[in-house]
Amino acid sequence: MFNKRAMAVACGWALFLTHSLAQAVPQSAESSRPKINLFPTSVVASLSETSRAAREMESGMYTVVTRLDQQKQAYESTQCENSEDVGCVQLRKAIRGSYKDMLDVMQQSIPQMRTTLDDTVNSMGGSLRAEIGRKMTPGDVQRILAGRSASNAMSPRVSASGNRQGKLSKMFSRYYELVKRGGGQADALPVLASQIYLDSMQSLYFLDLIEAEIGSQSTELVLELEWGELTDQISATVTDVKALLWGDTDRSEDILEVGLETPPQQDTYSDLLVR
Amino acid sequence: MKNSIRKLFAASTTALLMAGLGACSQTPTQVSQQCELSETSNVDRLFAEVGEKLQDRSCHYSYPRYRDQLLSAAKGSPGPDNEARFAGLLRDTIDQGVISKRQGQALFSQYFDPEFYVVKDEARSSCSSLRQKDKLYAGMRSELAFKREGMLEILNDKQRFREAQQHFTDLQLVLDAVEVACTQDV
Repeated sequence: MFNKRAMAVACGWALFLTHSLAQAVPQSAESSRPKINLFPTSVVASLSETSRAAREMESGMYTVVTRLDQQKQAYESTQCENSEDVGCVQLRKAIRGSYKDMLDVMQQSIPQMRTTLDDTVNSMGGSLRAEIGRKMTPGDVQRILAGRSASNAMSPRVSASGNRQGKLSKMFSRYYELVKRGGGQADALPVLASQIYLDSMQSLYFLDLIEAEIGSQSTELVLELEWGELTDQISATVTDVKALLWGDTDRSEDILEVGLETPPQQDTYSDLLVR
Repeated sequence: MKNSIRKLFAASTTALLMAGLGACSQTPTQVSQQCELSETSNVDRLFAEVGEKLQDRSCHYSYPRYRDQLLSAAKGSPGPDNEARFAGLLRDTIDQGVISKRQGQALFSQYFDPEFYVVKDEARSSCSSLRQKDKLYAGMRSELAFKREGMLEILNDKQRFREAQQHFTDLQLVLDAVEVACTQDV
């Protein structure tokens, strides 16, 4: 008789504990969102370095590329193509001179830019791989994105500086500022980390493209062709350089809005939603 | 002796199969008579009718058809109330054992949750999952189509569908980057 009563009490406690635990699990799962550190010191340092290198490259390039662009526009608008008019010949010569200047500046700046971009790609890629790729399931990533409201406080601030700033340096300095300001909240920013990583890779791709084009056109060849037509290669290189430095449209402002808005949460159907 | 056992086994298997096939062919025709829904376009009445029909175990076979009819009726009368109607019905169908809780959650999430059920269902690490990225993305795309149906056509909730689209874009951006990072390690 006593044994039966003891069994019943034990079973009752077991049931109660099981029930309590079952109720506790979703709450603790909710509060213990996966913790990640996507922006260790190495990433922040390489971002700062990339931003500085990009600014240096741009300041060296801006004058020469603008001059080249103006000359090219004048050449096209005056229908100088295939013309032997003295003015057109001089304009072609001036374009080639500017082009050579641009190649020289690029050749000097590319190695440093590449080194800093490589560092950013490697450190950011390492972080993404270790913190998300190996530690988390895609569902964990989704949970982090869903709980990103904390990151809203650090929406990008538009630079008050009136200085002319290129796309590349602006992009990286904004990234740097965001990551730096993020502090403890930075673990909730896989979107930002991904954007930095993919943009760095794309910038490296453009650098490779430009370097390959520069390599295939020796400056001697450019000067030899003084009297010939402007080649497509020259136009292509100028286009790539402009895309790298300033872009067709400046995406740097809206990029950072992606994924940082706060979605209003409706949670009245928790039994039918998987968390 | 062995031959006679074999013959007996073959005969009984055939008889069982015939009986099974007969049952399969007869059940739906019997069910369709008593489980048919009325032609009403009133969404509330239709949900109530489905609720009543599902009290009858023999109508459980008709559940997929009911679900499609309800989805199409709700599209004819879009609004936020439809979410509660579907939630109520799904809870009842889960309680009655017509569908499992997991099936109910899958259906509700696919249509009404801005987050992606197909992503939540993935148990492996991101690096491993992304080896089949195309399959995962295809699943997300088809789920986004369900969400479009559920959130825009049934609930008329544009804001929620935008959230789902934002999730879709964010997830693809992050997973694309993670996939590249994972492959760079190889």
